[in-house]
Amino acid sequence: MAAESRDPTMLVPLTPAVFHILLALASGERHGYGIMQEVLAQTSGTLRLGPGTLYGSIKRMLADSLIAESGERPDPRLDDERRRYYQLTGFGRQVATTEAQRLAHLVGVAQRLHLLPPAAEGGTL
Amino acid sequence: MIPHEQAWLLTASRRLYWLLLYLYPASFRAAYGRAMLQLFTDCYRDARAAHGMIGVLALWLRTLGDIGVSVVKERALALARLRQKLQPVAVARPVRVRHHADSFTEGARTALQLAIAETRRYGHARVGTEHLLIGLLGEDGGVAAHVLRDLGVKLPDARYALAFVLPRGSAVLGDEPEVSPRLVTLVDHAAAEARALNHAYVGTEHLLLGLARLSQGAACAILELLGVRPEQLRMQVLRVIQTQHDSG
Repeated sequence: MAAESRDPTMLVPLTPAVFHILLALASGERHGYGIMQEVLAQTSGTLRLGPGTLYGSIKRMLADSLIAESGERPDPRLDDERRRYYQLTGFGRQVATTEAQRLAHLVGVAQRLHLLPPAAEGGTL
Repeated sequence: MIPHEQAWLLTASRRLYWLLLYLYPASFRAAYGRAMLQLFTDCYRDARAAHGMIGVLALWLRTLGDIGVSVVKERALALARLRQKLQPVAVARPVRVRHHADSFTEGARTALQLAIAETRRYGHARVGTEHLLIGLLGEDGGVAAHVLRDLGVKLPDARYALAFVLPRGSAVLGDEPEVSPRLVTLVDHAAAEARALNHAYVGTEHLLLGLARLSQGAACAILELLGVRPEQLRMQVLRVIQTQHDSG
């Protein structure tokens, strides 16, 4: 199943929740609460993933091999409960890049149409 | 840390959230329920620390919204998966159950008889994997019934799930009832499993292993509804066989 879905363009556009989870995991493995906090930080507090949305997305991302479980252990900064950690797969990274390129292209179009100010200093996309 | 006098609120919130998790499909709850409760507790702690009681109230409002949206989504996906499992097989295969029936143990024969009785009970036209699953549950002394009980599958629940996936029919079965192609496949798998284990007989445990190898069919749909995954079923059967082997 994983072998068939190796073309990253098959999965884009991603849902906002999936793209944000990929971005949250781009800097390293995290557990559910860690992902939630990172998404909150990356969106300046506007996207707060609830448990149902988060784990529903995680389940589908595991099935698509975008992410993988990377172990279960307590987080010393929180408490001594065991937590399941997730990490990006190589394929997940490709898909995140593909989606980011798609969005960058759209930003370029928006700039040409003067919907956005042009990018600073030689920043044509 | 949460002051002592408000600990009851955390306990009550956790308990309520745990109950609400029962709205999700059983398989989803089994896989992520514990992690979701953990995440809810983390959020509770943050909300309580940042905004006190108002924070807890806001958290609950957000959480109810999250549950509403994600329950509908997970339920819809689970239903779509069930539908897919209930797709008829494309190629009908000849009835070959009786070829293996000579090597059936007493228990396996009883399970098959119970399956036929169950098919009659529902007025279904032919014996399928779903009826065998009920038969295996009904064969009390068998390894299969033991394994299914360990996995929390109860006879009334399985019957309820069967009625959920297949409507009652009005067929009258003869003495030599027709068998569904998928049940034939299941029995073939069971015979192969017995051979692989070097067992000279086909028992209820092999039938259950055969069932665990199917990815489609009403029995798979029933197990999915009851939150039992095929690999889980397989592992549990092998564990019980190993235990019995070790103890004599």
